[in-house]
Amino acid sequence: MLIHDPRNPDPSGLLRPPLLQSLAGARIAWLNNGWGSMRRLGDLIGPALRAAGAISVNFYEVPRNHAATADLLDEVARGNDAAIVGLAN
Amino acid sequence: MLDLPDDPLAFFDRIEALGITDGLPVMPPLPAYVDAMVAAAGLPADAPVASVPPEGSVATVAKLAVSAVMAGCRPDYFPVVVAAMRALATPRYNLLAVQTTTNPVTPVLVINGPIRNRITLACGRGCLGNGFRANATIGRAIKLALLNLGGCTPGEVSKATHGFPGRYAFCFGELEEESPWLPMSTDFGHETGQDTVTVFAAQGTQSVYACFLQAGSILHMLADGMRCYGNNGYRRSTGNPVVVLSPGHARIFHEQGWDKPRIREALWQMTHIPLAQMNVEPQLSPSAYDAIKDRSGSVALCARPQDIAIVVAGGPEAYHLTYLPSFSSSDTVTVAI
Repeated sequence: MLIHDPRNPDPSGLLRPPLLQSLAGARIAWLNNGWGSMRRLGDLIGPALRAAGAISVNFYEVPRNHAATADLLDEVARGNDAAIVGLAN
Repeated sequence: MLDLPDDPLAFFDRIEALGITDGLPVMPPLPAYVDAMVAAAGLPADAPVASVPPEGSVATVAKLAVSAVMAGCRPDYFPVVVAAMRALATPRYNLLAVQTTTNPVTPVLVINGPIRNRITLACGRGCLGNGFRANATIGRAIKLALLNLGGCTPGEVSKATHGFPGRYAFCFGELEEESPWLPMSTDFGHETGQDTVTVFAAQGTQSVYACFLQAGSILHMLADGMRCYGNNGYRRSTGNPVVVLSPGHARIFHEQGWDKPRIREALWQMTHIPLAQMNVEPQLSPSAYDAIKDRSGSVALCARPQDIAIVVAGGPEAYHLTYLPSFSSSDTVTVAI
């Protein structure tokens, strides 16, 4: 039988993580979400991203226990080409 | 479209293999069923309702309709599903965190207004449990949409350490007809008689057997059930804990001069935990109270008394209360249906 797919297609691939090489020359935002584990990962991965060719890795703080504000997201969008966002803790 | 086997067992096996079910069989979202669901919404099929984290995939009316059919909804339930998704996608609800945290949290949908009776939504005895199609399938439709549009695969993207059975579906109505007070939705700024859905982020249920005849004694026992500093609310005194009063308890409070603000104020005070009773040692994830040097004070369950939500539902006897501890990293949202 033919049924509807409950998922959305992802023809652009935007929902998949980019390959590391594709971040060469990019300004990357790292959004800390208030969890120590996310901050420690940033400390480790930030240098690796720079070593892979990223121009900069810029760290931001999302208010603890809340979604990022619109102002913060605007600031991130203005100053970066890609963003890495933590999944809770 | 997906081309799946007609045989029910083979169909279920394929649905499971595709990772698009919650572990239970689903109704096949045949085009005619989905069309009927969309028609019930009174909205264009391609109208966007929400962007569902963490993937950020767009939940259109049609995509939500697919989940509603799979869950077993009747078309007249569907406006509730659409409204609930709008509420969940409101930024202050913080759906990204709800979807991905190690906490067992799940969205809890509480319905107010005449639509409860039109769709036979259970508000009375057993309303938080099994056996009621509207409750079960509306709650499940939302969870299927969060899975299939948000990419929230349990154990992979959802990092809930244990989860809890309420993650299959958690939806009930307020028994407004048996409540001595205005509907809960009026506490969130809506008019009496307005159909609304309120979404909470709760990490479980706690039953409190408080069959006293005096309001003060009931509150004392209820507060004891709420006062657990392992609940997330105490970590930062945030969030919206929910108290589900039986109509019998609500009547006792009302007859003894207790309205909802007075109950909230008393519970808020009674659920403070003295800092002296809390361990002082490093935690993997620090709580705000760790940093308090003066240990003579206390920690609140939530920021303000008015953050405690009170809803009247369940069987009439003043025996059991149910408490829904808050995830705390999420603010309650109420929207019109």
